[in-house]
Amino acid sequence: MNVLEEIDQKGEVTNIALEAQAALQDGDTERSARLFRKAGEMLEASVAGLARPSERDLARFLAATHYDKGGANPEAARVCDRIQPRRLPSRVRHLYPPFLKDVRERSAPGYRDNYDRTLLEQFQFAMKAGNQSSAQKVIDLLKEHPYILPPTLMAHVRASCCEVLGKRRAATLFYQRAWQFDPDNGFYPYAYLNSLCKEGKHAEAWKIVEVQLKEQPGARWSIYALSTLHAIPMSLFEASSDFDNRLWHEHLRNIVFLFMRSIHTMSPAEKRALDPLIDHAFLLAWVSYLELDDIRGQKEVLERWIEARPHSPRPYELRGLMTYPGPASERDFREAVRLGSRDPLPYYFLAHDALTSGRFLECERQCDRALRSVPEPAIRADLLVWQAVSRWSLGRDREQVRPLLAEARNLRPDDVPIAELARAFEENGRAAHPPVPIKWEDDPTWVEQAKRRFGEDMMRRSESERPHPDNIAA
Amino acid sequence: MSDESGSRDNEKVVAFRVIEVASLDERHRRKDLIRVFGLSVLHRLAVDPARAEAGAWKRPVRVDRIAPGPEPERREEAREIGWTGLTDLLERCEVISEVLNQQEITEKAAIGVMLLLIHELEGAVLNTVLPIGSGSDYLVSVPGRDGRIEVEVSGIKSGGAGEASSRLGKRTRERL
Repeated sequence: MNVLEEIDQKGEVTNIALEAQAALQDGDTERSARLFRKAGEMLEASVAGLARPSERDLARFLAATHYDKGGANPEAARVCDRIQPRRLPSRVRHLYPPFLKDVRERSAPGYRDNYDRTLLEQFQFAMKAGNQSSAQKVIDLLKEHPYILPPTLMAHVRASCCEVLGKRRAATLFYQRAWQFDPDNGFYPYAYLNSLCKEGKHAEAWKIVEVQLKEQPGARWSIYALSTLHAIPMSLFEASSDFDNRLWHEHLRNIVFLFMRSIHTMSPAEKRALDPLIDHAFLLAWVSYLELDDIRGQKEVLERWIEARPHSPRPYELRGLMTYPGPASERDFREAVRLGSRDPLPYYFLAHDALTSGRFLECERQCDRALRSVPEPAIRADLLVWQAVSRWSLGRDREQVRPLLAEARNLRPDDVPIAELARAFEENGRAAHPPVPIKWEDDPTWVEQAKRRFGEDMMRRSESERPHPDNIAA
Repeated sequence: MSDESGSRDNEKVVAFRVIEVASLDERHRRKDLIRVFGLSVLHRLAVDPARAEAGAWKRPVRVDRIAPGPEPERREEAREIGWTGLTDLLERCEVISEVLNQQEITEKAAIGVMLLLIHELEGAVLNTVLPIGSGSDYLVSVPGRDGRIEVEVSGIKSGGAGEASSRLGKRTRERL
C-alpha cells in the first residue's frame, strides 16, 4: 500500500476534493471553502496513522494544500508550521517553498483588505475608463485569490470585466451565474437578458421571458419583458415569416399594461430590488405608447410614473414636451429642473421661451445649463445662437458672443438665419448692443420639429441609457 | 501524445473506438471527474490553442506508449478523443479560462487525458487524485497489476511530439 492509498484509503478525500474543485470552478466559493476544509481536516487526521516522518509531512503538505485551496489561511499556516521541508519526499519537495510563500502571504494581517482595495481600484478604472488592461488584471487577481469576494459579487465583477474585454459569451454566462447565486436580486436577470440580446441571442432571451411571465406575471418580469422587447431590433421581427404588425402591437400593449397594473402592487422588498430599473421601465413603457401612436397611453404612463417616482425629473420632462407650448408645459419643465434634471430638454424649451419673451438673462442661464448636458449637434446649434443673441442683447463683451456664433455656423453651415445673424453682429462694429432690440421669431415649423427631435432623441436614449449593473456595484 | 499528423514505421493502422470525455466519471466510478478534468480536456482540444471546426465532436490524438508485457514494445497509435453530448460543457469552456490560469487548465487537461487513456489502454481505475502545492500539480494513484502505482502527469499547451518526448524523458529520469 503506498502512502496515498493509506491517506485516502476509500477515496473519500479524493471525492470531496473533486467536488470542491468543481464548486470552485463554478464560482461557488462558499461551497468549495466548506468542502476543501473538510478534505483538509480528513488529511490532517490521517497523519497520526502514518509511521514515517516523510509520509506524515507529505500528509501535512496535502492537508495544508486543501486548507489553502479553500481559503482557510490560518489553518494552512498552522499545519505548515509542523512541516520540515527536508523530510518531504523528493518528488514534491520542490513544490513546498513557493507554496509556503503563498500561505504566509495569505495568512498575513491585512491580506484580504489589501487585495480588496487593489481589486476595487482596478475594477473602477476598468468600468469608468473601459480600460481593458485593468479588466484583465481583475480577472487574473480573482483567479489567484478567489475568496476575496463573495460568490455573487465575484460573478458580477467577472461578467463586467468580460464585457470590457469584449468576451460577450463569458459575460452572459457569468451574469447567469450571479443570478443563480442570488435569485432575489432584481438586477441580475436583467443583466443576463441584456447580455443575451447583445450576443444576438434575442430569441433565447425572449423565450426565457415568456416562460417566466407565465409563471410570475408581476412587475419584475414585466420590467424584464419590456427591456428585452425593446432590445430586439424591429428588423428581426419583420424578417420573421409569421410577423404580424397588429399582433406585435397587441403584444407590446399587453406587456405595458401588465407593467402598469403591477407596478403599484410591488412589495417594499421588490421595490428595493428593482429600484435601479423602474425609471427605465417607465421610459420604455412611454416609448412603447409613442410607437403605438397612443397619446392617451403616453399620458397615463407619465401620470403613473410621477405617482410612483415623485423625485424623478424624467416624467415631467416628457409631459412638458407633450403639452408644449403652454403654462402647464412650463410648470412641468420647471419642476424637472427643480428635481435636478440633467437632460438638456427642459432647459432648451425654457431658454427658448425666455428668449421670445425678451428675458435674456434667464435665456442665457438656461442655455448654459442645457449646453452642459452635452446635447446633440442640432440642439446645440440652437442653444449657441440663443445664448449669443441673449449676450449681445445684454451688452456683454463681444468676445463672449463671437465664439458662440462661430461654433453655431460650424454646426449648421447652410443655415441662412445664423449666417445673417453672424453678419449683422460683425457689421455692428464695436457696439456692445445690437442696433435694434432683437425680437426672436421662430420658423413656423419650429415647435413641431423641436418636439419630434426630442422625441426621437428620447427613443434613442431609451436604448443607450440602459441601466448597467456597475452603476450600482462601483 | 501529440496531434501531429504523419505516419511512423511502427504505427498500427487499426480502427479504435472514440474515447469519449463523457465516459470519464463512469470509467473511474467517480463523480466530478468530467466537471474538473473533462472540462479542461475539452477546452484544450476544442477551444484553445486551436478551436475545433463547427460541428466537430472529436479530435485525433497520437499516443506514444510502451505497452507492458513480457517484451515491452514501444508503439504509436492514432486515437480519437471525443466530446459527444457535452454541449453544456463546451459552453462552459468559454468561462473556464477566466477562472483558471493557463497552467492549471493544461495540467488538468493532461490528467483528464491520462485518466481516459489509462483506463482505455490498461483498464486501470483511479484511486486518488489530490492537488498539492499552490501550482497546478497533483498526486495521482492508479491501481497497477501488482498493487497501486503513482502516476506522473505533465502537460504542455502546445508543442510538437519532440517537445513532448523530451519532457517525458526528463520526468522519467527524475522519477526512476
